[in-house]
Amino acid sequence: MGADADDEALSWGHESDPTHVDSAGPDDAAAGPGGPVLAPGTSSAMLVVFGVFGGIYLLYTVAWLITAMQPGYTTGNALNDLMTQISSVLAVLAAPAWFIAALALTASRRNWVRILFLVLGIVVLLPWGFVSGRIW
Amino acid sequence: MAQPADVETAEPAGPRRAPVWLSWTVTIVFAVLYTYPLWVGIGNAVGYPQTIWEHYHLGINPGGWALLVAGVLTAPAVFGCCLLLGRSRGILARVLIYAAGLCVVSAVLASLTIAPSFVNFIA
Repeated sequence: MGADADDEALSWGHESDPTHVDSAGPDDAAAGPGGPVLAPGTSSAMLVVFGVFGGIYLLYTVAWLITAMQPGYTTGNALNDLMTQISSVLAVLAAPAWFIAALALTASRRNWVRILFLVLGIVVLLPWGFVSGRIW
Repeated sequence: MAQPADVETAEPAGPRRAPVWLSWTVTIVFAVLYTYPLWVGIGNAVGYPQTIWEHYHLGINPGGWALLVAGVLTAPAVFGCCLLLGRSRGILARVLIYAAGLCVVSAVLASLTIAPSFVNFIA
């Protein structure tokens, strides 16, 4: 009796089983690689380009984070120091914010416009303190 | 530039459209937030020359003034760009643009603040 229960538990059941649900997987796989998997309108080359830009923006974020973690001067005024801390955090968030905003808000634009916005961010957000070596 | 407007008009105008008071509230709240970096820029533009004069009895050179003026103009310039970019977009997109702009202002001002360590400000 116990053996029968085990056999039943380990079987896939019959196709006439009313709880049986057909998987849609094999049909999707039949469409071939690179077909319906990619989001419409974004080519593989553009995905690679966005990946490269994402890496650059990630490096920028790390550079700004290192900059923000340096001990800055304090004014002695608690409100001033708090606002300075908040500004530092915002500066760290600038690179990811630009990257997300540029990708999200230009989704329906041409590719060169999207790349232009991403290049503009790289120029504007250059972490001068880190690049010039003044903060380490 | 015309694409987002097309997307907006393609959607049903009624329920997806943010009410005017909400758009104005978001804009005003962010305008207030942008006044802090503007205030910092003005404070630097006024304070640096005074400090240099008190300590060294020297003035600021044109390059230094250019950076100080850039520090004053950064916040209003970025806010203006955000206003333009946010036109005819949804409320969430506007919030994203204003927030990203505020972060950008902080980063640019941080870079400008570091500038005196490798640019000669003193005339």
